[in-house]
Amino acid sequence: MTRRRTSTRLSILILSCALGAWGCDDGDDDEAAGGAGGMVGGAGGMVGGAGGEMLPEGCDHLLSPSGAMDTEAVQTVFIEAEAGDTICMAAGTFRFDSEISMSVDNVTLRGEGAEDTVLDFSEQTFGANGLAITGDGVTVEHLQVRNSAGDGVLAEGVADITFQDMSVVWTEASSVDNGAYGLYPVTCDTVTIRRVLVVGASDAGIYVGQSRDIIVADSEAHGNVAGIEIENSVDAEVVNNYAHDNTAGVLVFNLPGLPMQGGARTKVHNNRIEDNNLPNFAKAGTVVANVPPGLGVLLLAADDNEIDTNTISGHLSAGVVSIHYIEAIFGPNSDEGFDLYGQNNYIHSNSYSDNGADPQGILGELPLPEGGIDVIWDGCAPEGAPEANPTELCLSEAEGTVFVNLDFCGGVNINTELGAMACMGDTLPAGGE
Amino acid sequence: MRISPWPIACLIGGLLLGGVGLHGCGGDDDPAPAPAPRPDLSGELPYDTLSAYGFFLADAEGRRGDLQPAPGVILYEPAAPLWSDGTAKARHIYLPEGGAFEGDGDEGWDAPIGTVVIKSFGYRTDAGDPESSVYQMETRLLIREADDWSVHTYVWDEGQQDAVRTVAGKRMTMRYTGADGAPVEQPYVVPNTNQCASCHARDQDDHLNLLGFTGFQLDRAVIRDGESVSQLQWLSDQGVFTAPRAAAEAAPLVDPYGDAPVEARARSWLHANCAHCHRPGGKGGRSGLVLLAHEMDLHKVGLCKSPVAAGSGTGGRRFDIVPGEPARSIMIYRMRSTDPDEKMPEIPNLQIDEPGVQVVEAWIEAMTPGECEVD
Repeated sequence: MTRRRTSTRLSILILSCALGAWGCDDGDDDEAAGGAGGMVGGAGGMVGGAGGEMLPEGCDHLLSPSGAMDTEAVQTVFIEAEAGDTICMAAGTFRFDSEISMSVDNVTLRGEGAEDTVLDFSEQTFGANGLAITGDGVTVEHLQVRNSAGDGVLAEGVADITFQDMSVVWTEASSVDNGAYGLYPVTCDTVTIRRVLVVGASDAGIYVGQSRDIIVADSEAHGNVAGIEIENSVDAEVVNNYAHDNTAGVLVFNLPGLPMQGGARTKVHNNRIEDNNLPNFAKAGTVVANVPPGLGVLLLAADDNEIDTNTISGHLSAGVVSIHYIEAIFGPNSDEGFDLYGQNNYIHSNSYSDNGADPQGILGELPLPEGGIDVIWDGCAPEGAPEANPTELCLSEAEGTVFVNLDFCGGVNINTELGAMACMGDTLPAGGE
Repeated sequence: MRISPWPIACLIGGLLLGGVGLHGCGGDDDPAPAPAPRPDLSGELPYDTLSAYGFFLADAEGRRGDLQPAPGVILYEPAAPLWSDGTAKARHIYLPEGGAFEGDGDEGWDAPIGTVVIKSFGYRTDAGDPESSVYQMETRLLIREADDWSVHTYVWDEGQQDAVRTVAGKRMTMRYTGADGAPVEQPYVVPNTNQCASCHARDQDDHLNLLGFTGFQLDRAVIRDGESVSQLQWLSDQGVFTAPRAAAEAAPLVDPYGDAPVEARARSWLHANCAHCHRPGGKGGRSGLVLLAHEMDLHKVGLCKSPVAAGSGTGGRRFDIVPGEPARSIMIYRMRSTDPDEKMPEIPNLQIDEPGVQVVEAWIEAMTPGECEVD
């Protein structure tokens, strides 16, 4: 939206010169950058000798850590990049004292590896995110965002956001002072998350909210309160991930009060969901603070989901839990249009082991059967729903899978009768493997 | 690198006077100055320096830090100013010759191409003396172009002669005499130009909006030429609007630090500081919290409203506002926080607006106490 002059790109060089980077005797080379490579712009960088150096293949800008605070130099390049540019970040640790942001469309931000190019926000005192993205078509890859004061990477209102081969890490384990979300795309269309690692988020490691057309694949989340959370979103696929040692592995939530309602059609399949028994370290008052530890998958008031072909093991409370929006736990609902009950969910073909040995939190207060629990339904349904399978929940699991109906809304006559819920539900398309 | 101001002033003076030469410069026999020119935006924008626009006139020493407006540059003052770490702010608007704002309602008016909204941030050198000089740190421009407003930030030099364009923001230190007479060093952040959109792109459509130049902000009394006048009327008299405006259509905001009823002051503070995000369709709208002064549904304003996206910002509290109990209200907790992960507004401030928080606290305190439904 800003009118640009070609000479503004020179300011990158001038800035770098001011920071004592390297010889700037022929800054006009920068004008040649559009054609073939061009000059190296650095974050006070250390690249090359007098006259600069050709850019690496595929890079329109190259940033290198200065050793000092890199905020201004990096932010300048982020702002002055042209649509479609690739900004390369060299290996090493970049230091930031502020949130940095990207608003130019179709920019690729590329490091040299999730262990090698580190964007370190340990000294951050300004801004609620590490990296904040509003430009459409942005890709972030091959780098690590570390110790941001708030959320790791926010993408807000973005059409087509991609995170791949990257990590978001808080180095302090299970600290309530860690940021809330690791990857945080919200109100986005087309979200692609592949081969990422998120560790230590005090809410959800990989969180996708109020978005459409989502794939979360081949990723790992551990040490977070929620490993992966899909909230008030439609058409998501969560596949081939490894969610372990969080408080809860995978959450599919539909919450009232948010502008985007009607969260539906999340397919959670072929994931390893193991040992999510971490004590809940979220701050009281947050929705996830109410999640009892020891859950593999938690469905909350979301519709038309399919949970299949996952390995779900080692959870103290239960493997899969499907509940309605329980106001006593999650707070009063004043959203009249909100449907408190999840409908038409299909849970099948999962492999369960060692779940439900010691139910935690509110589940620990209920007279649950001993000896393990794989799937829990709260037994709640809207008034007037048909007696048989009122929420159209279908289970089709191997013999020996332990199902528990809490009858939470009817007098807590806990039973293990599947009845009409032994059925085949609707399957969702899978394409992200 | 700094050039002494005198040769420049003399050179400019010389040019203006048609080659009179440099003699007499700085002396007592300067001729009466020619009428100051209007700003010139005919070059390729943005300019690299603030002085190139000609919005502010230089004094005899070449200083522009006292923001003497050039012809066509008009002062305006919102009723409820945004809190900006206690800085002394000045707001001006420049309209191209013959141009005027057009439109109905109180906000979102159409500005002619070439309109510039100019906001300068400085600090008083003596916090205990409201008449002490203001040291300018940055001036931000919103320039109306064909398809949108563009944003540009200029950081002032130490000599207060000019300001240079920056995009990446800057960390600065305010050094002034505190109200108690002791020297104060206070950090200040010049936001980067991406961050402008975090407030001004309030509707999430990537288009920028004016926030202070709205009917309910401008509908107040101001002092002009020593007299108290209606600002909307005065601006109308300056030709700022295509059709004269006498009053805002919605209830005007009030000075949060003034003597209006506490509810009006609290709602005005929240509007000025929060409603650019916390409005339907705004970034904070995704939480459902609406802090427009004209929102009548108090649940949307936070009364007994559970947070949905507060993260750790709840401080362990369950509701945005617990009537009668500011200490149990998330709103107050977040307004009092300086933790980047919790504080509200998220940017740009580093300091808490203590008087502002107290107004909102007093408003909540005065509400009829009653437990929000829980458990």
